Amino acid sequence: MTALLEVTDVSVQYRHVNAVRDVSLHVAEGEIVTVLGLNGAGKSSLLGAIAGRVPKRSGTVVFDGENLTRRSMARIAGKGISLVPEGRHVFPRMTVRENLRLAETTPRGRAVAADVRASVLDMYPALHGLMGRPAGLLSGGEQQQLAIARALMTAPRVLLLDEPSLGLAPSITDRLFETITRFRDDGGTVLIIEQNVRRTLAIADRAYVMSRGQVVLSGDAADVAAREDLSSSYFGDT
Amino acid sequence: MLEARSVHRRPVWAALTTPVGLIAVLGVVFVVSTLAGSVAVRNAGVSLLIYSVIVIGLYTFAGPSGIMSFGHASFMAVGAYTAALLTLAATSKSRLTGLPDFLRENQFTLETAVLAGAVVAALLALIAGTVLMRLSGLASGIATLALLVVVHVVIAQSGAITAGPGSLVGVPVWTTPGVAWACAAVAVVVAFVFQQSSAGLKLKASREDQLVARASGVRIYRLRLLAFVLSALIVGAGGALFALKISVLSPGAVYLDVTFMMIAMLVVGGMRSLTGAVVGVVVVSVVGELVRQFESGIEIAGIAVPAIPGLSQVAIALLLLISLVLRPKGLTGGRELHEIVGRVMGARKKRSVSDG
Amino acid sequence: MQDFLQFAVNALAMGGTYALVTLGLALLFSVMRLINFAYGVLITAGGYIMLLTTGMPWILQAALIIVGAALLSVLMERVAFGPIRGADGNTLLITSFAISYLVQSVLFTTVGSRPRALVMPDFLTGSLSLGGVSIDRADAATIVAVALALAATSAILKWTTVGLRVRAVAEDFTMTQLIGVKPGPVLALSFALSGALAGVASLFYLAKGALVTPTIGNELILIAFVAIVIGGMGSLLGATLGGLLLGFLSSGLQAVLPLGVVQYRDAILFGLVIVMLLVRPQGLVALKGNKERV
Repeated sequence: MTALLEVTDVSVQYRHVNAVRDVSLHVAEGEIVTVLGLNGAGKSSLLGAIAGRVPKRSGTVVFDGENLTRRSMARIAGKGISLVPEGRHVFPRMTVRENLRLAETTPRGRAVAADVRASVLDMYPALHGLMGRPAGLLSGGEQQQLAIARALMTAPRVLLLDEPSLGLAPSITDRLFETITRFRDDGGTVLIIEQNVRRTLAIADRAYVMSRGQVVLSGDAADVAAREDLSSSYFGDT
Repeated sequence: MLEARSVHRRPVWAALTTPVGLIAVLGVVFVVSTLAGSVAVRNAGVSLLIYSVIVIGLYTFAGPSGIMSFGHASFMAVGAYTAALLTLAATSKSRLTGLPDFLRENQFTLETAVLAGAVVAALLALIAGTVLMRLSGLASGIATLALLVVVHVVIAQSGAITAGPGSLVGVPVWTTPGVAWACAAVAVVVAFVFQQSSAGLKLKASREDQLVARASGVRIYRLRLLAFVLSALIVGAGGALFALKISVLSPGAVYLDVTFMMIAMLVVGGMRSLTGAVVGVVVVSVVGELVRQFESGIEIAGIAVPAIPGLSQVAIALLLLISLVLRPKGLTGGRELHEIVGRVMGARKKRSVSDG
Repeated sequence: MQDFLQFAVNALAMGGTYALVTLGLALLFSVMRLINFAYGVLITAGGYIMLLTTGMPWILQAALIIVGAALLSVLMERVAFGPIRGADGNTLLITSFAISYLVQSVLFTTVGSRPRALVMPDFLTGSLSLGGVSIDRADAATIVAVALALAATSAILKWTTVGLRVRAVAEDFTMTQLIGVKPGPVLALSFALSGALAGVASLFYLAKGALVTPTIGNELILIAFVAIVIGGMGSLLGATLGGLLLGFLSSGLQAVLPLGVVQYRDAILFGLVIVMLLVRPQGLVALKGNKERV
């Protein structure tokens, strides 16, 4: 079965730093795949490269058979790849309702049926009472929910999540992971970067471990979790 | 991080190719101006040499620091007015009651005027720079523009000293091609010595790496201030030469128009190298002169092209725009003469090696 | 009391004009981090359009000027600023300077530098009596027009979809694209809106002197620069208030400064810019988390 998302030999370079070096990965439809590794390993840059946010020095990104390597961010999002970057990035001075509405008015968002929108909001009852509040005044957990709800408003096929649980309380993180699995159960595909290794490996199908810009380990989530040398890969001794 | 330049070891004196070469290029202009029959060519040559002083001055600050100053015309203005007021005959300036008697009753020499212009400009830079050099990026750009306006308004409104907003008439025309070239040569040397000095190199390093710059804040501030004052010294001298050429000085003559010119010249040539400054002056001046020939109307193959005044300004503006969009690093791309020559030599060597 | 009222109306009219221009500048800055020196060109262009359309009913002239300025603004974006969108602040500023100069030189070449007189309609000349106080008709009209323009802009930004997008782009350009919003139309609208504001401003600014020259927009732009720094570059509200404040400050200083000093009023105002940049670079209206990264 050909993968939904096929990333081949991608490299990202900032000035003189090779953030990502010839990385290849693939994600099949309906999978939850996680990318693990220390800060600075290149995970965010990789996701950014897929979403078109950072320029690729080399490599290709193919989504559902279509080559998206040179496409702009907005085009890639329009195809159904939605990146929720690290730090949530809600629009602080706009209300919750306006944040969501922005997504609703995109070409992809407009095609989403009203009942689908309603069901997304149902997943986040906490947001119901906050519709009129400026997003910058929400708590970290509420902002994270808003960021994901906003991404879901365009009915994406692939969610790229960059450290969604960062700075969140454990109970909120539980809800977060429920949302992710629910998205997958409804037919979505997820590529997620996380520091919360055990939790993420528990819901993931497969995992890649990155160190210093390269993939050093990959395989089924259970296998990767069991690997004794996981910590050494993490700390880049190899 | 500085890019790796040449792979081969070059003799230390190779870098001197730059100042020597640039002085020689300007020397050609000097020769052409002196030998030229027509007044127009002579004037154009002197104008080019004066602008080279000014743009080299601007470069001395903007190049190493990476901060473009929109207010350098204020140093030119101060230098120009200082020189004009010093060199006017006593009879011409008797009505300027704001001037101290000592200045009003005497006429000073060219050398005094140029030196004084430079020094007063440097003083202004010292005062303004103490405040302005704390700023970076867009804030400093706007602040330098504000400086320009402040100086302009002060000059224009202090009629008892400057005859502003009217004109100072009768400034002696003492700027000859020789004088202008001599000043330009000095400017090249000063700029070169500064950028090769440890102060200049440190400043350049801060330009490349913003984080390093922020971490060593106080040092950068002092280095910038030094560059600012030094550049004002040069531009002030240029302003003095300017006044002693155009003979009629008004506040508008050293305000936005010249600001545009000097920035256009530096950007077109390449903001990051001394060679860029000189190349920019030459290219823009030549283009301007060529187009100016068309301004009074010409005949091409029997068809009369009508007079189009101001066309040279349009041409220069277009040149700057094209440069910004297509080649933002300028014609020299930030490289000095000895590096450009080195590249050409290197390319030739490669070719001969592969042939032989 | 009468004098004060006249002064207040005059200051309000002037401040209102500044507010429009400053708001227009701030719009462009918020979506593109560009301080557009060439904005003054739009005001100058308004004047020449008015010159060209002498004899037409004023309403038609006004429409042509507002639409013309908007189109010219979009043209600037397409041709010059769009291609260099990612460049740093000073490169953008220099580019805007270059465009300003280009248009000025073209105007100088084609129509000459001589000031040309503009014919103003009756309703903008002379004064009217309001409760025993006589105020300039032009001032009154300006205040009404400014209020309408500000209300319209506010409505567009708050209630329309494109306005929503403009606000989002102003807050986080990258994130809007990641959601799928195409940047092109948003930028075009921002430039068009800011152009229209310049058009309205030029209508009333030029009514005062009833003259147009190739450089007449520059004066207003320089003032807008002061206002935007004082009011706050990152905030549309701040910019508007900055413009209003500057109108009052300018008129106030003119009235209050002693004779030997008053001619240096503009120098004082620009000195104030430098002080602001040092002391409070985010402007007077600092919004939460809006420490402007200049």
